[in-house]
Amino acid sequence: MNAVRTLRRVSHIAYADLLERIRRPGFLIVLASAVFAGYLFVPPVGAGYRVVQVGTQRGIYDSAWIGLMFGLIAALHLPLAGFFLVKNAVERDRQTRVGQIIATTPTSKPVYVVGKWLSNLAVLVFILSAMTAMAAVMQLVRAEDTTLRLGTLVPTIWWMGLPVLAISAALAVLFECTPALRGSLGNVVFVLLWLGALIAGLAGSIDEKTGLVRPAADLHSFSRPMDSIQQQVLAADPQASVRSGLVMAGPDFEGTFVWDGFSWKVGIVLERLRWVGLALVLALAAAIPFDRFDPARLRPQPERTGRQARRRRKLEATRHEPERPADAPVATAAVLTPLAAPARRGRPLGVLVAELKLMLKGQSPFWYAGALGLSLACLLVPAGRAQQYLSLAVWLWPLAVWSQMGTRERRFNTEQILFAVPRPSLRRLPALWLAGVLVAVVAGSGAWLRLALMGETASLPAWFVGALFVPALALAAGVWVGNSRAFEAVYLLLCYLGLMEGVPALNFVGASAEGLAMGMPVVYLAITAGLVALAIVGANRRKG
Amino acid sequence: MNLVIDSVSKLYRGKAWGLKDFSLTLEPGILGLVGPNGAGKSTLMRILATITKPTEGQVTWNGVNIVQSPDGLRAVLGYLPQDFGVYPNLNAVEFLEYMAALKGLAGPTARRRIDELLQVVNLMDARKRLLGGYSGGMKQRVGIAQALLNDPRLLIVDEPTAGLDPEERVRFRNLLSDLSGERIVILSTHIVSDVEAAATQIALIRQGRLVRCDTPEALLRGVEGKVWEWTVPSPELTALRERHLISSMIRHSDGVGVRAVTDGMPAPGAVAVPPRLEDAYLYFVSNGRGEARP
Repeated sequence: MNAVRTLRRVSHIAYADLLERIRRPGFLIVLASAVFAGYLFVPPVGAGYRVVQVGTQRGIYDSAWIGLMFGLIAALHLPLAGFFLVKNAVERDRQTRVGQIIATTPTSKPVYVVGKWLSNLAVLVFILSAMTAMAAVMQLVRAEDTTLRLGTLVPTIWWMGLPVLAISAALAVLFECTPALRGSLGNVVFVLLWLGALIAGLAGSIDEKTGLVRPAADLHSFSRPMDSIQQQVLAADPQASVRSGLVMAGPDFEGTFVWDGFSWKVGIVLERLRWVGLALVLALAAAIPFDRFDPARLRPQPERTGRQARRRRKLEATRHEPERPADAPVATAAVLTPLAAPARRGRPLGVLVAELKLMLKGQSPFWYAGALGLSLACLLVPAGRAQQYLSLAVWLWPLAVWSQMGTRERRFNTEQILFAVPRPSLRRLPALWLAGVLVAVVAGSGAWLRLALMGETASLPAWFVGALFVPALALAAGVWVGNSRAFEAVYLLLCYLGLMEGVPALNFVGASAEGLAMGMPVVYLAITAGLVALAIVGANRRKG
Repeated sequence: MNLVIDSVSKLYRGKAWGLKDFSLTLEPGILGLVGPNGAGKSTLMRILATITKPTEGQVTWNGVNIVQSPDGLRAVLGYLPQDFGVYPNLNAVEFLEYMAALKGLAGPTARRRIDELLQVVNLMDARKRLLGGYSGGMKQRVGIAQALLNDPRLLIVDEPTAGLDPEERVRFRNLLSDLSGERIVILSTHIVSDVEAAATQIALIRQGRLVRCDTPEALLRGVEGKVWEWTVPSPELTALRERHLISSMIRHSDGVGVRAVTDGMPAPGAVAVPPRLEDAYLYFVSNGRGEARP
């Protein structure tokens, strides 16, 4: 009886949360994006790029090959986007204050977090379903093989994608319930985990001697299908290249072959379900740090310093108003000096200072010390790999500060007050953007001073273009999406691909000779202007 | 100085009319906008504060359409929304300085004004404390202060006394009375006593429509001779409630003393009494308009 009651609670928490999410207009946009991405995954011959290529060939677009393509995307990329999409289930209950009502019911913490995990997973399953439908449609559209074999197509996509999505959904709940991982730091940690799992999965499944993929029980489940493909290609031509790539461009393409597909035997399915079991354990682990919406547990963070303890006591003391003596004089409207004329002109400098103050107030001394340390290290550490990591750290350090841009007024419910002033967007947003730029310039002073001292006349302006670009990206994403997750996801990917992997077009600070030769600083400057304009348009739209 | 609301309607996305064909002309003074929850008060307030655009109709401030040219009004507007937040890591002075900069007030003027306003809203002693530690009533007073920063010609306050203790409520009502004069004050509430003393005009709103707009005296005259008091045995109370608009009840040793608003004498022994504003509100806003039901 208790088990039935528990199941009922879990299912209702998941169901209500799912309804709340899928009834939002934004969810249709997410589904439409998934469908559009599905269209791009299956390019026609001559499109200039291929998705999943082995050597110089790709499989013919039949159910087996298209299933593999969509399965890989679902296992490798959807979990990252999915995490940022669903990491708001607990936060929504906190903001709507429904959480405090739930906390007064007999619902236990494990029941609540498992319900939220299932809701997260259900949202991702909706997207996976849309992608599966699109996979079938694209096979018929490209018409290289019009025999639709759902028994081959569907299991490949789902058994590859579902376990990874389950883990992503569980980590979203775990991170939301863990105070230190609730914000930007959690998003950075997740991206690092995602990259680590990807790199470890790839490295672990490649045989060092042969260079071929060997079948393993990897999280993303790409080793077994890839091994099957490589074996088939080598059986047909032992000299054939089997170097694989997910998205390939360029002329190295000679034709197609028919892949026999991959059989999802019971043992392999059970192995995949073990990952779902791990996801359940992760979700249950979220019950340990979960504060059950107790605001008293929210405020006093573990106090590492006496200063923090003093600050907490001071904050708690302010809930009570200072006692007023009974005979204290009462000020009336008579003390107000009438203003001579209405203020019609803005005060750009005043707004900039105020935005900067707002942005930096509340940052811990540790944050300032870290920024200073990074700047000094940039000046002192010799060039090389360490300098590259330092450069990345300099650009990641102010992430939490930039993340607030364009989202703060919604988060703290000050929108109505702010939009009732003259020219609300034009007075505030450029100042807010400039405040973000100042943060970039000050926090990254070590990096650009080093460039200046070394006489890097081409790289120095490119660095400042980066300092203009990142806050513009944060502002536009914040205004349009309303939360910081979209900016964080895009920015972290840009940092990884542009700054670490050195993709010239994505290096927004123009740190590579190739990027400079391509004129990327000019491109990013133009993008920056576009993003600031987009933010202003977005703010005006939100107001209407 | 005038604010003209001309046939304004607002249709929400769920296809529900938040406001329907609402017209009103406002001159300097205090308008009390009174209606039940969900009547459309906040929708009207947001339209007048240039936050929301009307679906139909137009609003003009001194002859200028506020949808097409909102900035003229915004320069002289003070707005306190019903539900608003503050930045928890700023103190009251820093928050008001931020708002003053956005409103375009020059530094020295802003500092003097903030100082005066903090005295008026009784937050001088707490001015340097972080807003995150303020109680609900204290935050509400910070909201009132920000609305008055630019010495507004049009002051719109939506349920301003929510969260204030009785002493602060009285203080705020007095402040509004003191402020009226050469400005238009619109005060929205569902508590009649909030507007009773201060309002020069009262607009009654129900289901998005203006029911009646008049001076408090005229509203009271409208229910003259329609307010009755008498005592009934307790068991008859339920049936009585179905027939008449009961505005208050008080238990006596011989039954329940009832006050009802109704067009004719409701029961033998009922005595006509002088009306209160709450009786007028109930009479005009209730669907049955006080007519006795069979």
